[in-house]
Amino acid sequence: MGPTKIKQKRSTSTTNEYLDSITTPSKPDNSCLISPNGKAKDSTSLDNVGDAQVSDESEFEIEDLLSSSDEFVYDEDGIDDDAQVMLSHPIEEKEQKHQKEGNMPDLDYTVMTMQDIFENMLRRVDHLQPIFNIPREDILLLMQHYDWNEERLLENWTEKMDELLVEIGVTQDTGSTPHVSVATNETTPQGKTTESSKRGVKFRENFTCLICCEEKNTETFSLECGHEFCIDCYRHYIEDKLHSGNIITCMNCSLALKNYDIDNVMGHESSKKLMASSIKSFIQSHNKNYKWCPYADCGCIIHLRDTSTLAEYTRLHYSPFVKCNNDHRFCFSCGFEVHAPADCNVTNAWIKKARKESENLNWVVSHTKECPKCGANIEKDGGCNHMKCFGCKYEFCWICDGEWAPHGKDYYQCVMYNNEDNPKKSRDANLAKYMKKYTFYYRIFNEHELSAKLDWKLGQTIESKVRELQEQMDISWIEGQFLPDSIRILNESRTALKWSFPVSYYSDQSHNLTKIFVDNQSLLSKAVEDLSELLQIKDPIEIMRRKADFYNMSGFVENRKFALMECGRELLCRGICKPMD
Amino acid sequence: MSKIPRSFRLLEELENGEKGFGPESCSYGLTDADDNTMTNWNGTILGPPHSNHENRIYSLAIECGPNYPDEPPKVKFISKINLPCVDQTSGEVVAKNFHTLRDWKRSYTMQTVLLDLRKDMATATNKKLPQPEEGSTF
Amino acid sequence: MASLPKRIIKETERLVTDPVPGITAEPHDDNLRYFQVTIEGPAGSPYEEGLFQLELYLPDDYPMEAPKVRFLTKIYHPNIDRLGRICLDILKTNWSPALQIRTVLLSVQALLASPNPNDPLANDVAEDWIKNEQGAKQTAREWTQRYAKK
Repeated sequence: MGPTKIKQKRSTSTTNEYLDSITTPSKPDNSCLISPNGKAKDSTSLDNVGDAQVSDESEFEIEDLLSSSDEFVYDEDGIDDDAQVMLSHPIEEKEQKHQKEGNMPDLDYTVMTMQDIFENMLRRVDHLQPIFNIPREDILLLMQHYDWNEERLLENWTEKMDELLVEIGVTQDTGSTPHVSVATNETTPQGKTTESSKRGVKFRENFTCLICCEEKNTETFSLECGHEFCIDCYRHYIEDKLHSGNIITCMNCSLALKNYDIDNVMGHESSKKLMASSIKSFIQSHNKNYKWCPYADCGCIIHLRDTSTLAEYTRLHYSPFVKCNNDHRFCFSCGFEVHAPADCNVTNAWIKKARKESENLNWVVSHTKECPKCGANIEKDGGCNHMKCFGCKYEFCWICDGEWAPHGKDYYQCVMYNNEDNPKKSRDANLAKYMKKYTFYYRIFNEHELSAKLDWKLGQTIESKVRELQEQMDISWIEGQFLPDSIRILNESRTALKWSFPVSYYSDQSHNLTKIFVDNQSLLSKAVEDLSELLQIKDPIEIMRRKADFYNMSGFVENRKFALMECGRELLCRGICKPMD
Repeated sequence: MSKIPRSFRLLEELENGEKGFGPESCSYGLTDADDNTMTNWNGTILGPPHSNHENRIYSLAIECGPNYPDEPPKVKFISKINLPCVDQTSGEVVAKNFHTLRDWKRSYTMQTVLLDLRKDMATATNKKLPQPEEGSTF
Repeated sequence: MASLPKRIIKETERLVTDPVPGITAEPHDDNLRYFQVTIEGPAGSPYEEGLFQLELYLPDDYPMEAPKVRFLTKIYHPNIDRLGRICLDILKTNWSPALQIRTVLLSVQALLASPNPNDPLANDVAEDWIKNEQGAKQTAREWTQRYAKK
């Protein structure tokens, strides 16, 4: 164990980068990947420290097999229930268990992907086929037209079947006339013969396309209407429309292109893009029940069937945290990362403020700083805030620049903003007092954010550490799991610590409970730093020797985290913490 | 790329301004909503922080002549401001002293001008310049 | 400037050789995608006897993207606003690449003949049109006399 390494290197990050990282949750929370047994709410028990042995992946496989079986349950309520039947995952059950621990109503949600939703739609099309007795492709168009609202479709279908088929472009409206043909005096498209009126792609010599007016040997496309245009124009036309999600019609009349037409013109599986766009707009229009996982490049969709429970969460200042199939945890209400003890109001106010102030402040938050004693440039490369200068060996706290010694003893004193004696040498000495206060909290928040990122990097190496233990110390994989567990607890606690600073920022500083909250922050800060230091140990023998310390320390951190979160919730429930601009 | 004519270009700028695209620190709109020549515009700049302009709102008049955007607009401060590129008697932004107008490109917009003026207020030398009383006009 | 697509050349030619009655459209010499347009007010409408100036521009992506059209002459019409912008479906969501300059201008002319106050762009005019159609039409006639006189 020892202080974080110090390098003579300089790198900077701006406030804006920081903003990006909180609005789109940053990687540190991915650390759950290492140990998928993350808890939805905190737990006071130590029981879970060693129980992540069973890889969730195996469970997923079984579940996936089940969900892809042909069994299909139709339900009058439509998609929501079907999805529920097919796509429940074990994660959900775990999550629910913990919600119950907190005496909260169940957060009954499922994790889906676009593919899941689309396959579900296809099953529904299969189901409707015997009722409608028209080709599946046509039903798909109907569903697309009705924004996948089956009930409305069925209602209108019985009333005005023929009209509907014209409306969606399956059959031609005999009454309407197509647009006047382009740029020539001909009023009928070229080559309207019985042969060319066949649907599909053809090859033609010296074909004049009425869209681009070029004459060339080219492939062409047309529907039954016979409006035949060159393949280049059609490709350009379809490409522009694939993102809209709407039905694509003939360039000259209202006849619809079906998915196989699109694939025919554009190449293999292009229609999937259109279907994806259509489903995206379906999700958009049902965004009370469906939320995209906000993590970059994650395609998971959380489906919450009953949103009435959310009100209860809000009332009790809990947040509806959910977890996707890739173990990304986020808040269903506001879409930000897990932000307890802050509730959504505090989170939103804080982020709004950060956004506003970053415009106003625009100071550079640096990864590097100078050693408070000798002035050497120092870069932090682990999450631990206990720093030791390579040059002069001075040990200090990264957050407040103060000497480390008092931090190690009772508790962290640098978490509380001190009005009289600002611990930071302010870069903007003439800023208003409130600005100083904000700057102080912002800085701590940001430091924990950075620490969390560094801890996450540390977590990336943990698997190899476990392997090292297995090889060198001859211990089993299961036995080595206390390491990834510790990392997970460290990450979750840092996130909680981070979000506790917006809570204290918005709290009445003079209230006794705020003081208790600050004490709790101090205790958790101290515990987190200790755990972080423990995780710096590289030597396998030393790690195994201190195995008990890992258990005790992470258990202690979990307890402290839970205490802090409950205390923060009380501040909110009692109105001592009130977010405002 | 073909050349978009003046009026359609100004309509695009108007729509972007109305929809509130772009940063909050600058805004602009037509002076007279009935003026279908779209010549006269008014702009505002929120003074950049950590400068003597902090929390001030500056009003400007922008004139997009018949050759806009081939030629830069005429820009004039209504609120009094002390800046090297601003004529201290008329409030006009002197094109030869302000790079955005001097090295005008067709792709520049009114928003470019406003944002660059705001940047100019925040430069190391300009941010400390003593400023006239807030609310005074040229 | 990139060479003009054949489609635009053909359309321009046809506008000259086979003009649409009551409509003219001529490209500017220095920008062949930019047209100066006149439309005669349809007979029987409040715009009768008026000659309206418009401008039309074919964007880079034409004909995949609709032309941009605007009235230069002031006009009192529920679907045309004070800046001359036109609310017409085929200029927006219902654009099709098979439509062309002449069909667009014919549609604009048709819009003059039958205003649609239920899908307004100029709200005050539309309100006037719904509440007091006769009065609104009278105003439209006066504006035509004042601003669009041949």
